[in-house]
Amino acid sequence: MTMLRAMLWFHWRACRNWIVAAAVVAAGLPVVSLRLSWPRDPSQMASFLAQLEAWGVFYPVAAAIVGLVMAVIIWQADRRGRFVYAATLPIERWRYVWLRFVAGAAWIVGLGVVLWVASLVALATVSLPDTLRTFPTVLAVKFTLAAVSVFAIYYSITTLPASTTRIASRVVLGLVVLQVLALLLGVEGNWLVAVGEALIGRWGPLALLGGRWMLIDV
Amino acid sequence: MTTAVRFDAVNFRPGKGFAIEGLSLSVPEGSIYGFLGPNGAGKTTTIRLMLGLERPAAGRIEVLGSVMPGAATAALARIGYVPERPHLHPFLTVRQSIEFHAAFHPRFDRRWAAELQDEFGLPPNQLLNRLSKGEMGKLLMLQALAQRPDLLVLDEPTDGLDPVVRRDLLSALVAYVADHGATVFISSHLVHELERLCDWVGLMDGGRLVSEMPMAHLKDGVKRLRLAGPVEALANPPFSVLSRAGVGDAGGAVWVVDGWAADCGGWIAERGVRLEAVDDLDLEDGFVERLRARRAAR
Repeated sequence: MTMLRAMLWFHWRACRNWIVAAAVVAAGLPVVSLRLSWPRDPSQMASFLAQLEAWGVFYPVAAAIVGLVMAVIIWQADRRGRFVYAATLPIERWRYVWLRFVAGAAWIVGLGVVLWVASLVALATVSLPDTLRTFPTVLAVKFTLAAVSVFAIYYSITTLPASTTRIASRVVLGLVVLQVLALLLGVEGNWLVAVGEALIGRWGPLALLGGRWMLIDV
Repeated sequence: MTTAVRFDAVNFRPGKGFAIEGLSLSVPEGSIYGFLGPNGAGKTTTIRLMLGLERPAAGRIEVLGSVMPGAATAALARIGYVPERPHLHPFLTVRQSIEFHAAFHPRFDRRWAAELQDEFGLPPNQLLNRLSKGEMGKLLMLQALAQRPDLLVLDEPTDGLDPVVRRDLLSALVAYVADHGATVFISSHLVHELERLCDWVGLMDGGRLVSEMPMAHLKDGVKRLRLAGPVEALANPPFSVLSRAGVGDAGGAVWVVDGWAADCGGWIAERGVRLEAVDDLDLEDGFVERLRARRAAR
């Protein structure tokens, strides 16, 4: 527990600018989306929902950015010191990696809580007709899980040995080059799109980023 | 003799070119072991192997009874390490860095760390990226000492520091060793500094250990001889000759020898050569002569 506390504090010191910025976005998104979408005329609820759905795109984008950036900056401090400090601590390496992961995920959960509270505050400022229902908890949980999923995937990649990451990057780059060539030669099929769809499709590891992100719905 | 660190025929190649080959060394428990060598000799690589940061291609490394790198976690809990290049996190303050370090070291002595912080004059709320080189050196030493380690591994700990800071650090180190009987493995190219401090010394060059011996042996056994007469008569001497230089046309010579003993003077006289002077060499001269002899023999 002492180590985890130390690691949480460490991450706050290392990433506090980024965490504060992400918290502002997480707090602002439900408030701003609701304020800007709210109709002057109560009879225009259908267009209100359409506008709110349009705003819903920003939630998965924000979740993906939060997860990705957290995974990138979480190792920055160790990378700067060539991992010498981390590697000379009397702790198994898998445990150190796990502690870093848990601390990063904990801060993402914190951002989810910020989103949830902001959603509740935003909803308290409007009076909804009986036909509409609110989903602040679902939205916050979905945001948190999506961000943690992205964080976990990218974090796993960053913990791979540098040589493995290099090989994987070259393979991906090779596939992109082949796809571009295939397009230039008029060969049918786009496997990059297929890969993207597989990732965020129903059974993909990033499926949580898909679907509708609605704070208010019927 | 119990050993704190033992390398047995260790081979390691960190990249193209340089390699550590057949490295065997043993650091007696409770000793202050000076690890000398020119830049690029393999001192830092040896330390990385010792700490379990690298895996040897062959051979065996044992540190405080743990085989490295397999049992590194157990060993590292008893090792205080001061690296050549500061490895602490620049966005932490002095106090935060100490607290973070303490969380991972079960034997960390917070009270003593606070005392050392006062003694070293380290400002607790100063960010590490605003510390001077001397202050950073002090903080690294503080963190290593406050772990209450059984083995201190110091890689050029005073390199680039002013004499006052150097003295502060070495005083704290000597006081800790005197109180706790810890072993110290200190790598440096500041030979004079080690001469005052160490009781064992290992000389490294080109990835190989040139020699390893008690400091007293190195200081007493290596002499500069001023000889007059037919020095060709001195074949198969009872000491090893590290270097020879002729002096003038009269057949005189200056030899630097290792393994000198009191009765060697008689052996020289019996062969008709006059021994005009026997001079002591300091550690730096002894170190340079040994390196020269080794390089000439290659």
